Order: sequence, then structure tokens, then C-alpha cells
Amino acid sequence: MKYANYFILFLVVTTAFLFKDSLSLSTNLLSLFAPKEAVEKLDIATKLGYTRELLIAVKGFDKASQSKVKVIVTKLKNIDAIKQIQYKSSPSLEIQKYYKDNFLLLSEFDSSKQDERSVHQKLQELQANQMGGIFYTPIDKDDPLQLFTLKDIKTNMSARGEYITLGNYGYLINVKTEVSPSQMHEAKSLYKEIKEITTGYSDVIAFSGFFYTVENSTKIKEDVAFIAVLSVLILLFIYIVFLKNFTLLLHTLVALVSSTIFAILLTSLRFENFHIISLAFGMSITAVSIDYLFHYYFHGFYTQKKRIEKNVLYGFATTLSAFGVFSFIPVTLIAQISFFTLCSLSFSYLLFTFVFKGLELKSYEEDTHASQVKRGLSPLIILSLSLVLLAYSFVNIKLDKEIRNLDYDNKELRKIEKTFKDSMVNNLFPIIVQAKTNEELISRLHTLHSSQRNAFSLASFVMAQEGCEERKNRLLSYDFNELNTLVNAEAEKLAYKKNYFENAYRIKTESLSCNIPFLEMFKAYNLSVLEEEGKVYTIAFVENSKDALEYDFVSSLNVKDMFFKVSEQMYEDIARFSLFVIGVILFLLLLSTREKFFYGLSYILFPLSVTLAFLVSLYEINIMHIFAFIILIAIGIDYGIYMSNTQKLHRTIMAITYSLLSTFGAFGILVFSSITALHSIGLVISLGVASIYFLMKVMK
Amino acid sequence: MKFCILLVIFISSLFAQSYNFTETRYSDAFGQSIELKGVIRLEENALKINYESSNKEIVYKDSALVITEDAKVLDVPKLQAQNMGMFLQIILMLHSNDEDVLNEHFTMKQEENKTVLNPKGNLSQYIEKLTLVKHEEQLKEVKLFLNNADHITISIEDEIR
Repeated sequence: MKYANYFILFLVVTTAFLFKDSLSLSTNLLSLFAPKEAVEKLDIATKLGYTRELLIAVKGFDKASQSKVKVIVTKLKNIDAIKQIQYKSSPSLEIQKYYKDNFLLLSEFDSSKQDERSVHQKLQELQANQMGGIFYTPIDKDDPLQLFTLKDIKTNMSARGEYITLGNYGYLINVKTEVSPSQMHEAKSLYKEIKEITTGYSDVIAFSGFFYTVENSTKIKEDVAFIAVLSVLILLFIYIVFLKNFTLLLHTLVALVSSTIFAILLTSLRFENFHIISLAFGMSITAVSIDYLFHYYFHGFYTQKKRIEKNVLYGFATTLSAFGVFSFIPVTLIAQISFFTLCSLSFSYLLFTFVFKGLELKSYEEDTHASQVKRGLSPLIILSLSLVLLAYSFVNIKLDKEIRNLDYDNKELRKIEKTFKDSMVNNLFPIIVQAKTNEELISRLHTLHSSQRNAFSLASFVMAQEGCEERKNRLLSYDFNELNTLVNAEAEKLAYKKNYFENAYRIKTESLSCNIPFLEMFKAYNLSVLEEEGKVYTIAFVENSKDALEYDFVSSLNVKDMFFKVSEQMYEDIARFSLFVIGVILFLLLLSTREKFFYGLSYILFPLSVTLAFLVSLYEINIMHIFAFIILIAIGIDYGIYMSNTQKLHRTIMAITYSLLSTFGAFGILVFSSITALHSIGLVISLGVASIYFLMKVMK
Repeated sequence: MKFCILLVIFISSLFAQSYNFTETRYSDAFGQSIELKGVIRLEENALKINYESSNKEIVYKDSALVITEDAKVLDVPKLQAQNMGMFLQIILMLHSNDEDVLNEHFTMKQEENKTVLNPKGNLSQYIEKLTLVKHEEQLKEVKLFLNNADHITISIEDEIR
């Protein structure tokens, strides 16, 4: 029995070793919040190549900038993960051939009747321009009257000369990669190669969605490691200074490590996508379980005969109920953290209650000079003050529904992303359009274009079946032979060379085809088609995505929109679960404190109201703040129960003080994290711990 | 000595140079030519053209074309702007004498006293070939043969100092 604690550690470490292959950690915070619909749409967008794009911009338009573009492109060509590089505006040979072959159908045709006068006038204009104009104007032998005009294609790219540009910023290199933001290993490797190329230039910027994955993941890992080390050091310091019992310290650390590993094992089995933040948070909350140990130790439980300490059991049961309820919440991060807490707290409670009893630990020797506790304020005053602060908070509360704000705030990369977005000449938003066939897809895209004037999609290049057939019939019914005769006759009168327009308007009717071309050729413009499960998808770019979403065949690709919707749902879920949990807590509190209910209630309401009032005065409240409030309530209730039912007040206060210090060491230091999700929790717990300590000192 | 020659070429390409030129346009549609005289000012990545018979001024800088008449900016039809931009870009390429740029757009060969450039890629849709005549390392004549059988000859006469 003396070595049971070590044996248990050995068992959990061995089990963890056996399951090590199935233990993996995710660092993509947003993936935890992404709704199913968003995941599916982003998956389609990735397959369509949208999220695999990499942009590199070279500032300026001078010759030196052009040279830099060429050097960078040469280097990029050596990278395996790069599929395609575009830095010149000229369309591919395939697209050029498509336009040449389909010129007559793709052009606007002026089918008005031509007569001697109109033809003569146009040919005269051409003559004047060519023989007398200051600028050289070529004559189109095939269409001298310019009856066919090809509409300008409004692409999503701007250009200067032959180079594509990022608005007025400089030249742009558009790169298609094989890497999507979810492929961490490949993304890291490509990121490193790109940085090696661009680092040497101060005026070159690069951006891709996977840069966030790589940079944020590194920063989050560094941040979590820093927090973990700091936490361990602070906790060790507290335990060494206050417990002054090396054997107990060693056993406590062993118990905490066992509980953490046990919780990691169960949580990673229960959740596919176990996040590193859940782990960091879970480890902190495991350290809070030392609260049980302190209470047992200072009240001599380990040297007494009784098997159960009621106050600790009530505290544990209340905390367990709260996190048990939250482990079913449909908000993945909170469910993960709650489940982890449930496992680690239960395991550590069992260790501290039953295993530690057999460790033959020395009992705590009371300091004979312990001061008497003098306190003044009544629970009613505290409760009244709390209610006032709560009322103030509810009037002033503002919710932050932008889930992306919870992630690591990568200011530098956001600035670069903004430079790219702000410099784009066409501020178009991507959407997904779906249909059953390619014909229907093109037709739907044209419907979209009819309401969105500057839209850019496959419909910018390919005609809808109906429109094409109509134009074809118009061409077939026009008498081009008569026009040819007329043009040649008038040209002769104006001294054009004989037979110069011999081939004008010789339309090859057999070449007029309305079949949909090979759409893959438009990939360079980020336009392609995906066929999946009997449906075809493409990406279109529109000015107003809100209007476009009115069509039932359009879905949003705006991550902000998707997360906004999901965050509203999350707040509702949290509110629902919180109300239920608070109900359970109050019921358990009433059961365990009975006539001292209001006294115990103060330990919940006071820290909650002080912290909330402070936060609403300075910040918008995010979901992690709200979740931290639940933890604060769970911590507060333990202390409420201990303080309400204590027989030895001085020892209870001491146990709680050490617990609070321990809680701050574990949770409070999260306030130093640069990840908003962790910082928010740290801030709430730090303020809460301080107000509980204050309450303990001042309430009667 | 070699260094001195290189230095002279380098310095001359760094500073703006202005030349008188004669442009002869042959129109295949009429089997006739017209002649225009003007001044061209060449800089590293820009040029400016003024014709004697017109108040219009053409400025092409950093791949952007601006035509003004009596200080008023004219609206140039896109197709015409594209054609002009292409020709002016070619003149700049030739002036730069940057072999990498020239090789990117043309295949070059020497024929007697002239260099023949055959365009690659997009340019070949409009231009059949170019010929350059140099005299004592100075470009004297550029001739553009267009695919529609028109051709334009630019004879550079003297440098204005």
C-alpha cells in the first residue's frame, strides 16, 4: 500500500506508452469551432484549389521589381510542392486557341443591316486612321467593319504590361501549391522554402492560408510550453514553501502526473481532434485538485480513522456535476476541457482520498502562534453588493461573437493579409456554386452574373447553352456573302488594294459549336470544376456575397460569416448548459450547507460579480470568459462548502489560501498567454481567486 | 580600354537620351507609305514621344501608357492602347539591351549587317519579325514586320544633347 501511488503511475505510463500511436494533438483552434457545413464547404474549396493559393508581391513597378519577380519565379520553379506559377497576364495558349476557335460566338455581333453608305463610311474612317492618323491603327482584314467585338473579361487580376499586379502595390506572383492549411507537415516544409526565398528582400511580401497554420501552430506550442514550465515552477515553489514535507510533495506530484496522463488517455480516445489548448487547460485544472489534498492534510484526515470527509466529497460531487454536464455540450473545445477535467479530478480525488490514506504520511503540525481570525462583513451585505455588480454587468455586457479572436493574434501575418486584400483592385468575395451537370452549372453562373455585374466565374469565359444557340442562329441567318461583296466593292472605290478584303466575313458555319469546352483551362484564374457524389461545384467571385446567397445553389465561403452563425449557436448552448449547471450547483449547495446556504452562496456570487463587472467595463465577453466563470463557480462552491461547514476555521482558511495560490499558479498564469482563449481564462480565474481570498478575509 | 568602353555604355544607358527619328509606316491595304518625324526620349524604364505634326505626347512608363494633347489626358481605346503598349515595350526592351529580356521574348540571329528577332509567345500573334540595324554599337534602325503585312520602320537619326 505504501508504494501504491508509484504503482498507479507506472500503470498509467505503461498504458500511455502502449497507446502512444493513437495520441495526437491538434493545434488548429478554429477547427474546434468549425460547424459541419463549414468543414464540408472548406473541403470543397480546398479540392477546387482555392485554399492552396500562395501570393507573393514585389513592391513597385520598375525594372528592378521585374528582375526580382523573375529571380523569385526561377527559385519557385525548383520547389516540388508548387504546381503552377503565374506572373504574366497573357492567357495560356489553350485559352488563346479557345478564343480564336470560338471568336464568332464569344463576341458581341452587330447584326444591323449594312448598306453601301454605312460600309463606305467605315472603310473611309479606316483609311483616314491608317494613312493620316498619328498613331498606327491596324486594319482587321476579316472584320473591317468591326461588327464583332469581344467583351472585356473582368478577371480577378490586374496587370501592367505583361506582368500581373497587386493593384497599385507592385507586381504579383500567383502560385498554386499542393498544400492545404490542414496538411501541417507539408505546409511547414513549403513555408520554410518560401521564407528562404523571400527573406532576402525587404520589399517582398508573401501570404497563404497555410501560413497561419504554420506560424500559429509554432507560436501556440511555444506559448503552451512557456505556460507549462512557468506553471510547474510556481507550483513547485508553492508546494515546497508551504507543505515543507518532501514525501508528501513527491507523492502529490506523482498523483497529479498520473491523473493528467489518465485524463489525456481517456480524452484522446473519446475525441478525434484533441486540441493542445484542451491539454494545457486540463493540466492546469488537474493542479486545482490539490485543493482536496490541502483540505485533507490540514484537517488531519490521513491520520484519522474515517474513510470519507463529507465536505471534500460534497465539493468534489458539485464540481464533478458541473463538468459532467458540460462534457455533453455541443461546443467541442468546452466539451473536451470538461471531459478532461472530469477524468483528471475523479482520478486525483480517488488517489488523494483512498490511496494517500495508505501512504503513512506524517500529519500536519499546527503553528501554535496561529493568529485568530477577525472578520466583519455579513453575508447579506456581500450578497447585496454582488447583486448590484451583477445588475451593472448585465446592463453593460457586450459579447464578442468573432471566434477567430480566440486564436493566437498573429498581428504580423494579419497585416500582410490586409495589405494583399486592400491592394486588390477588384474586391470580390468567393462563393461556391453547385449544380448537377456542367451545363446547369454554367447556366446558374450566368444567372448569378445577371444580378452581380462585376462577378467573375467560368461564365466570364463560357456562354450559357441558350444564349449560345441564340447567337449561333443569328449568325446562321445573316447574309455574310452579300456583305463580303459589298465590302470589296466599296473598298475598290476607296483605292484599297484589289481583293484586300477577299476573305472578309467568310464564316465557317460548321465551326460554330455550343459544346462546353474543357473547363480545366481556366484554372489559372482560380476557376475549376469539382465533380463529387453526383454534383459539380465551382468557385465564383462576387461583389456582394450576401445577395448571392439568396440563390439556393450558392453557399458562402466566408469563414467569418460561418463562424458568426456558429458562435451565436454556441452562446445559446452555453447559456442553456450554464443555467442547468447553476441549478445543479445551487441544489447541491443547499443540500450540503442547509441553513448556511447564503453564506456558501456568497462564495459563488461575489467572485462572479466582481470579475464580471471588471471585465464588462474593459472588454467584450467571449465564450472562454464564460466558460472560465463556470470553473470559477465550481472552485467557489468547494470553498463555500468548506467555509460553511468548517469546525477548525483557521485550518480551513489555510487550506483554502494554499489552494487559491495553487489555482493561481495553475490557472492564473494563463493570463500571460498570447492566445486569447487561454488569456481569457487566466484573467477570469486570477480576478476570481483574488476576490475569493478577499471574501474569506472580510466575511463574518 | 575595354573597361572604358563598358563604362561609356553603362553611363549612356543610365541617363535619359533624346533622339530625332523618322517613322515610316507601310500600309498593305493601300500599298503606300507615310512618313512621320518626331523626337523620342528614352529612360531606363520609360519613354516619351512627340511628333512634329501633332500636339499629342505619348508617355510610356512602368508599363502604363498616357497620351496627352495640350496637357489634357486623352482616352485611348483599349485595343489601340494594347497595340501601342506592345510596340513601345519592344522599343524599351531594345534600348535596355538586356539579353535576358530579349531572349525571353525573341529568338535572335545575325544576318549580314542586321539582327533579326523572331517573336515568341503572344507577340508572335501580331508581329512576324523585327530587324535591327546598328552602327558603331548605336541602334540606327528598327523595322517591325506585322502579321497583316504592314511594316513600320523607325530610323534613329541623331542624339540630341
